[in-house]
Amino acid sequence: MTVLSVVMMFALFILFYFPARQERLLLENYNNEIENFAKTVALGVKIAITEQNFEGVETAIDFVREDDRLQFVSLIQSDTIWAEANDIDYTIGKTVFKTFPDSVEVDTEGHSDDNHIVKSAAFSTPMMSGEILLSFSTEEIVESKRQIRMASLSATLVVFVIGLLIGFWLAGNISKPVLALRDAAHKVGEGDLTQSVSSNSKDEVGELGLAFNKMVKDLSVKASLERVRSVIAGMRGKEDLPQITPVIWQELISVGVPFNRCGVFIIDEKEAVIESYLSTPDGQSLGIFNLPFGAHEIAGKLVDNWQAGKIYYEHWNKKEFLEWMHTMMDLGHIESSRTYQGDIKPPESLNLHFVPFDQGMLYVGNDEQLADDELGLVKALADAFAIAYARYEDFKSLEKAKNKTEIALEELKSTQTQLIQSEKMASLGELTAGIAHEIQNPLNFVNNFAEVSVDLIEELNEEMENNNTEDVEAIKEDLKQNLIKINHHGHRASSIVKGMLEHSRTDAGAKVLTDINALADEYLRLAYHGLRAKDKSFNADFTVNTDDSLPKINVLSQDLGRVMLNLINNAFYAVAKRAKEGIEGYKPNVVVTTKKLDKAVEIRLKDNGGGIPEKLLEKIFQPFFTTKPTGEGTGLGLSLSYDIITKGHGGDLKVDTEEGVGTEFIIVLPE
Amino acid sequence: MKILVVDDELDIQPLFQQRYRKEIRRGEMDFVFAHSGEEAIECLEKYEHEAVIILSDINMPGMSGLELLETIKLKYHKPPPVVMMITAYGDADNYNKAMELGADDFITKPVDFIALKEKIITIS
Repeated sequence: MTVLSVVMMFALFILFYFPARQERLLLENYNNEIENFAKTVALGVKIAITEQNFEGVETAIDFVREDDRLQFVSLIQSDTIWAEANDIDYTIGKTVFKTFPDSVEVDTEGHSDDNHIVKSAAFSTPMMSGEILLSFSTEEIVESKRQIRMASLSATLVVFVIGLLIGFWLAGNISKPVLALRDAAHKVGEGDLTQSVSSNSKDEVGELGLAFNKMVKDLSVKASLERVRSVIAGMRGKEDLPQITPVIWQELISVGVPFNRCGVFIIDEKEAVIESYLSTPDGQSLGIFNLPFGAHEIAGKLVDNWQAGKIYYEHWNKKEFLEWMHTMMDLGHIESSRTYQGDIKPPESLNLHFVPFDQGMLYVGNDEQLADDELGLVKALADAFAIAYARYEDFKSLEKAKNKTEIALEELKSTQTQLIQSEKMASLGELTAGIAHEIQNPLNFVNNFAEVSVDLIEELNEEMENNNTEDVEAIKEDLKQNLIKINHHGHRASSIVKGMLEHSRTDAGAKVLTDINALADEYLRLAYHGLRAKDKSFNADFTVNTDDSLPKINVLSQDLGRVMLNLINNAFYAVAKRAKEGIEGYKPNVVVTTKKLDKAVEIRLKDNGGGIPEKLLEKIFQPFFTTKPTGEGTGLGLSLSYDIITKGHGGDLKVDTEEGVGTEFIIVLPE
Repeated sequence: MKILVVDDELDIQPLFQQRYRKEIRRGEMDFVFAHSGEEAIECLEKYEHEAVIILSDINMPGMSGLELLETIKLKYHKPPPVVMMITAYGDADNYNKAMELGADDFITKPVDFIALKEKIITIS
């Protein structure tokens, strides 16, 4: 389309502009010529009249007479006619003096028109003045114009045709390759990197084609490298390693390197082995094997060149190929010669190229030696492989580190379990002292009442002999009471032992209906006596305000007991600490209050110790947080208590504290 | 002579009463019981002008036996009451502390009532 419009414009230009210009020139020339004729004739006439040679006039006219373009030539006399009124105004009167051909009527004021050109030239002699009026036919001009038009038309046609031909030729040479380029670029854009455009011309379009082909090639190489990177870096373990050879094989094909064997050698200097990944001539992985540095001559050369960072080239004939193959077969890395050769016969000649990268060498084997640019492509592939392989190794070491961390975490978890157990044991230790006292008392009573009862029996016998009925009755009543007391204190001792056993139990246990009031009372005493046993100077007042309407609720009694023991111990610890400050009139006091709530039971443990500073408040339920001197507290008491109340019972453990006033822990257990 | 027994264990009372049943009946021993240090002080005020032997437990909520001992020894000079400490914790710490505070005797539980009786008779 563009071509057509350019040609059209050019043709129209030729068709209209040139003829118009030509015609104007022709007309001008014709005018000038006739004017010159007129002047010449006028000069001749002037000379003839001046010499009064009338034949001369004829001769002058003869100058144009023979010209066949002449229509007429006329000698016109001009007379000055003065006005009658004055001597100033006048007119010029013109009269035809002589005309050739005579037959022509001459208009003295004649003008040019399309058919003829009229030119005049004035002359003046003393005898007469006048002018020569010359009229020439334009027939010839018109004819010339016609010819010019014809010529320009044919020229236009020629130009048009030539233009079209040139246009189509150009289109063939520019548009077609450009369109092909466009289609190819489109396909490349869609991801087809096998595109190339044919370009045999040496012009700019040809260069463009070459540049395009190079770009696609580069892109294809980049895509190949990217694929190598993604596959290798995506490897996660040993089981992924066999992917290496097929990937290298595939991408060597993609980047267009001629080859029939390939492989990767990862060099491990520490172990002095080459981890080898080789392919058969049909792209199959030969498997992975470790080649010691000294296993074959080529291994040593491979390592030397790798250390020097040089491309290592080697040529093998059939004999050398077979020697290598048999070494590999002896080492058990190749199962059958058929597989390795890829044919019954071994190759006659093999060119081996080893291109170094960070971790080893990339091997490409081919019938022909590779050109430098092909080796460049192999190098690029090797470098991409190196980056990806490094990432894979990073991942492996990361994985190792992760495994280590996991093991450490496991250990930590088991340590934590042990710590929780030791926290239980620690509180058991605290309990033991309390228990010793608590158990000793009832046992003493059991013994004492038993002994006194033996005495009472004797007394009873005496009184009976004396017939002292009143005393007999009294003693009998005492005996009965004593037996009840023995029973009571026996129970008391056994319940303490049972509590102790439950406390040291490690399993979760089951929820049982429990009297919270009794539990609170029991543990308050245990805690108190435990502390007393440890610290003789310790003393504090404690009270239990029980709500008798408190229902029995299902709880993990040993767990809840531990919570109470923890909280009460803390309370006693706080008041004891405060007492040591020597504040005037300070009476250490711990109060445990139970209360029935709507569908819940509340236990409040209040002390008048030093309170918890606000900045520590948020930490008190954290595991291992303790304000006690090292070795005295595990820092697990409150955190375990919190877990037992919230997770174990779906309850709530809150704290209300004020520095210098005291602390109150509030346990709410759902019914 | 009044014998004031101070112990937070309530069953101490019937135990003493039964153990010394004959002595009580014969008027040889006169027991008064207090269940805490504070209660013991009140009793002492009540029997201010009588000679009193005090048998006190050490481990009690509120005022402990040792505090009671200290208070008595500081406050009551004439006649100086005899204070005997009775405790389940027969350890050196408690013993030393009690002696330091002027305890007249230190008896560990379980109590040997016959020996205790002799001690009381000796004192009175």
